[in-house]
Amino acid sequence: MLDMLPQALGLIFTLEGIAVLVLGTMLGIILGALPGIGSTVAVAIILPFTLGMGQIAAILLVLAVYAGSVYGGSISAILINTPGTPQSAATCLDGYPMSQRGEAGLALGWATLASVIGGIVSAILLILAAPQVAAFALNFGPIETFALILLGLTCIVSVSEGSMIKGLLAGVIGIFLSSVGGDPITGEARFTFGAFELLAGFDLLAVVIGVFALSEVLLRASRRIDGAALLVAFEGIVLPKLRAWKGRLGVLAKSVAIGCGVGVLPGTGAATAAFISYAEARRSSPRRENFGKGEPDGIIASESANNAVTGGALVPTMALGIPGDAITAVMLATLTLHGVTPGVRLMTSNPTLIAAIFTGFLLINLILLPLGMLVSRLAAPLLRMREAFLMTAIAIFCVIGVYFVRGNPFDLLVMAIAGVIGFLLRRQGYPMAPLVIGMVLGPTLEMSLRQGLIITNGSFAAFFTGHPIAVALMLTALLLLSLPVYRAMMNRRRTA
Amino acid sequence: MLALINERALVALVLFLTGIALLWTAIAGGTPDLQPAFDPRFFPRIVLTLWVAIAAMELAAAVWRREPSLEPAAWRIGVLVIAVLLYAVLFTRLGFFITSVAFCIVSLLVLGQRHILTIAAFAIGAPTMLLILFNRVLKMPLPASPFFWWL
Repeated sequence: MLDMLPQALGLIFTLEGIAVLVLGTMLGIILGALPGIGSTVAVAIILPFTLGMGQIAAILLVLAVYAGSVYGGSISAILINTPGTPQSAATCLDGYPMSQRGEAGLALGWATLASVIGGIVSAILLILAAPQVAAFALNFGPIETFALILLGLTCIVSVSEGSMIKGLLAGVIGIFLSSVGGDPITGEARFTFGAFELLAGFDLLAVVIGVFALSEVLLRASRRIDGAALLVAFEGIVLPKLRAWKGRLGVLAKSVAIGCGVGVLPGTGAATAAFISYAEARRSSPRRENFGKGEPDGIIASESANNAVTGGALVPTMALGIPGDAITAVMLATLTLHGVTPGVRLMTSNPTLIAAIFTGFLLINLILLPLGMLVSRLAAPLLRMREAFLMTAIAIFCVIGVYFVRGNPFDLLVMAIAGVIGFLLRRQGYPMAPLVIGMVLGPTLEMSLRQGLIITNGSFAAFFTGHPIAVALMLTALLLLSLPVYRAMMNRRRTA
Repeated sequence: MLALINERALVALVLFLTGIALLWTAIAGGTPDLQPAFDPRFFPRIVLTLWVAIAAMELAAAVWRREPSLEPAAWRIGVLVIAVLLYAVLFTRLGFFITSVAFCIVSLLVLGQRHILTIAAFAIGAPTMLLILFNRVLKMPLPASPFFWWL
């Protein structure tokens, strides 16, 4: 791959190539920051514009919008507690509290650097190890995926500290909500109660925006709002000083590894990676008590992991022709439209094109830092408005965002009801992150469990024989579940 | 009995009863001769059983601890909830512009703004800018009004 680098750079460094990289990344950041647009819609919007372009420019444009939008989602998550994309939902947990403390610029600085590093490492992984990693990912069948998702669900325990029962209940409600609609295997309607609109299930983003953003508007309205107060003090991105990284590099390295690993597995996605990584950071960070109150480690974990997924997800897409998620499925369509057939043979039959795509992806992640700073500086004046006006604007953005996901009026109603229920639950101290985690991981959990049971003729015990990766993952999940109990026992013994 | 009811217990009770009702639906609608993997209600039954069990624990904890009840949400939250629900329902029927202008006025008044000119400027200015951004720049049309085609 590396010997193709000169030809690859020659293909990228044309006027069209550079313009596409810069404008595509900026557009991706802006679209990602708008709640409800999301990476899939952003890539889909740009797809028709690529038809008149050359092969390399078209593919680079889609990649730039993809990487830019994943990062852009963190901007609205941090500034207004409204994740632009589902994969940024975990960023809200610590990013927004930092904004409320008046450290919005610094929170975005952490998010930007973590995103850039996550993206660059995953791009390097893509360049060096695409064929080998893709081959390993093929070892993941339904049983291994089930074990991986169980491991992911253990993060509900860690994000529920302080109100474990409420967190678990919210998580279970989230998993249940994900099962509403057509059954993925038989197609039979479940819990639709005759409502045609429910056949497609609850839209994830409608629920996420409702429980996080709209409920925040209602919560603030229920308190006395200071008419002259500013919601967020934001002047632009403030990059953290070098010494501030001390003790955080471990979190970064682990999160990038999780993001790359999860990205490679088909059907998991960036939201899953962000939550698994967040939970792992919360377990292992020396500053775990500060999580949920504006701890930079939480932002680093979430943002580096969801950006590391971008490169990882391209591995099965390019090397095997298997899209990892909805976004890479749209990307697969782009490649096919431009005469590229992804698969094992592509690596050997057109190495220059592959090298150009992978190198372009690395460059996109490099320019993400200056472009992120530029876009956020341009957006800063918009945020210097009074709380009442910003709250009203957020409510409007919630509605617009959800409308653009599917154009379905029913989703708007779901978002509004989710907002009201979220408000009532949050008033009683129910954390909303477990609900979203449940909704994100629920479909894969169910599908992999049922596929696993089909493979083993209905025997759950067979999950533990002949599947060493699954056993290792389940044991890790068990270990991680028992850690908080062990910690609580040790604390009790210490205080006694 | 009434002394045991507080807002936390009421929320837990509603969640518990909802869980029971859904679990009953899942059990009643199941097909007993199907293998679990092919039974559409197999997975929801597991999840709902957990829901009921955890909600029962939360209900017991809420009744047992009897935490001091929260200050009831002010009247303005009721108005805002109704405004949000109406905005969501009417958004696609009456179009983006009309509903957004109306929502901005109600929301800003509820949130304590009293300067009429500022409210009017924001209520008309913000939706207009968003209309231009989405309809003209991004070419992603927002719902149009059935009364005025240009809005």
